[in-house]
Amino acid sequence: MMNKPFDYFAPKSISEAVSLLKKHGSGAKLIAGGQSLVPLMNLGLAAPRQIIDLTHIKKDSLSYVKLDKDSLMIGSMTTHSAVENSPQIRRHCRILSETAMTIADVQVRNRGTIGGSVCHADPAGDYLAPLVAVDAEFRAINPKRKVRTISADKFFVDIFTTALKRDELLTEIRVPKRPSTRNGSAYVKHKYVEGGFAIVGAAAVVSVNKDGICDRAKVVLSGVSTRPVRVDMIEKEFRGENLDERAIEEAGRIVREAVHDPLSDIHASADYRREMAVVFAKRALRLALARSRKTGAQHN
Amino acid sequence: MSRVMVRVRVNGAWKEAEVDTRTLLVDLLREEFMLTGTHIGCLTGNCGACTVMMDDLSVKSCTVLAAQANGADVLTIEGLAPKDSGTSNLHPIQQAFIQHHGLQCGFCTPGMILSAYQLLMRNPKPTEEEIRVSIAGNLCRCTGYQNILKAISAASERTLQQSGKRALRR
Ligand SMILES: Cc1cc2nc3c(=O)[nH]c(=O)nc-3n(C[C@H](O)[C@H](O)[C@H](O)COP(=O)(O)OP(=O)(O)OC[C@H]3O[C@@H](n4cnc5c(N)ncnc54)[C@H](O)[C@@H]3O)c2cc1C
Ligand code: FES
Ligand code: FES
Repeated sequence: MMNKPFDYFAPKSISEAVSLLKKHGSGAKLIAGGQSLVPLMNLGLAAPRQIIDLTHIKKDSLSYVKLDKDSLMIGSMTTHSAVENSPQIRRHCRILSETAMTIADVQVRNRGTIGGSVCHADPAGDYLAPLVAVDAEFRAINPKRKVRTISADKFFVDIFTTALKRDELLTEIRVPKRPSTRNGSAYVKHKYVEGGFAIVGAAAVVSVNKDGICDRAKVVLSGVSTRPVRVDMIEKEFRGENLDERAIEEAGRIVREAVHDPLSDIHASADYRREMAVVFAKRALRLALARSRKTGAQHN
Repeated sequence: MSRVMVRVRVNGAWKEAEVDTRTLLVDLLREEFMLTGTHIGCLTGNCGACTVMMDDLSVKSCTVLAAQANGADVLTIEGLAPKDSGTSNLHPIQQAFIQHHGLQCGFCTPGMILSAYQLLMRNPKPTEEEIRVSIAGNLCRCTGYQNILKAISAASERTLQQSGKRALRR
């Protein structure tokens, strides 16, 4: 059994959950799917004094997928399995379903949540790069019921650190809708073992105009640094260009420059990570581009 | 508040216990309810030996606090076949594991079988690739997996020949 005892709370509503967070201060932790937190507690690497459980809050208040005119809205307690299988997400933000499929295994996907994943902010977490690449926004609520919106780019601050304040709870992730034609995206992951975390995860989002010229090309990487790496030069260099194989090779060179201080660990050295970042960024770009050219199909 | 009352439906019957808040679902099953068919290999969510069904979803019960399972419907390996009914009444997936030598030491087997159960409930006619994906979260140190794949594929064919999903449901 875990060493340190804790108090357990099962709030029935979001406002009750944030009030408990405020009341108990820094020793308290929310628990969502528990797929990161419980193993850490079992290992003695986390020892919260209070656990505030989000699983008994009315299910559809944090676990949902909705659409409005401009965006796709995903409740923070939506599981990886639900993201993988949601027809709306598949249709309007395919890259997220594709990403969810690469996470861990069936059992972990059945319980782990998108909100827990981004709040945990493991640099090798798979959602980080694609959410930055699709310009997602994160909505958080505090005990005064004030809602704050944070862009994905600002949300991920450092290793296991987000822009959330101690008494804030993430409620929703919003992704702007894009037309299904001439937009393509892809997430490709390099892992060291089936079900393992990413050594490199590369997300690419591409838009082309009707002549096939690039309007937008974004590449963001998970797993290579303490926070997602946005390869801004690619966006600048390729607008108005024809994205041919030569351009993709050039993108690879830009990625190599952008990954200046890669992580190094038991699974991959810094140099190997940088090389794999180049290889997987190019693969993601090629795939996103191919999808953007399948006009009319729901391939973004 | 470091103790909590937990009420779960286990293999069809409601059970309750007052436990330390640190109790994991796997501890609740093994130590309070004496259902030791659910195994513990790692306690980090990696090995899958502790896999059970919770509200129709397979989960690793070492990553779930018992309190999180409050109110849930749990199915363990003991719930797949009627008690003391001998091998003739085993679940079709269990029979297929025996027939195709899908187990050796048996440590991973309850978890493997529940992962197969989750797969066949969702997808009664999986491809080999889909079977591989379905047991990616279950480690086996004995069999080399090939016979497990054969067993799951045979269970799928057998149940389809018989009465489809109804033959699987417990
Ligand atoms: C064997 C295994 C393999 C894995 N492999 C991968 C992988 O390949 N790729 C990958 O990306 N992940 C992987 N994971 C992690 C998994 O995706 C987790 O589900 C995820 O990191 C955390 O989500 P959770 O819902 O389980 O959160 P929890 O573990 O419950 O919480 C994680 C953290 O987020 C905080 N939190 C949760 N919800 C909120 C909220 N709404 N507002 C504010 N804070 C919140 C918690 O306080 C906690 O600090 C793996 C996990 C396991 C056990
Ligand atoms: S004991 Fe639960 S996954 Fe290993
Ligand atoms: S049969 Fe021994 S671990 Fe699988």
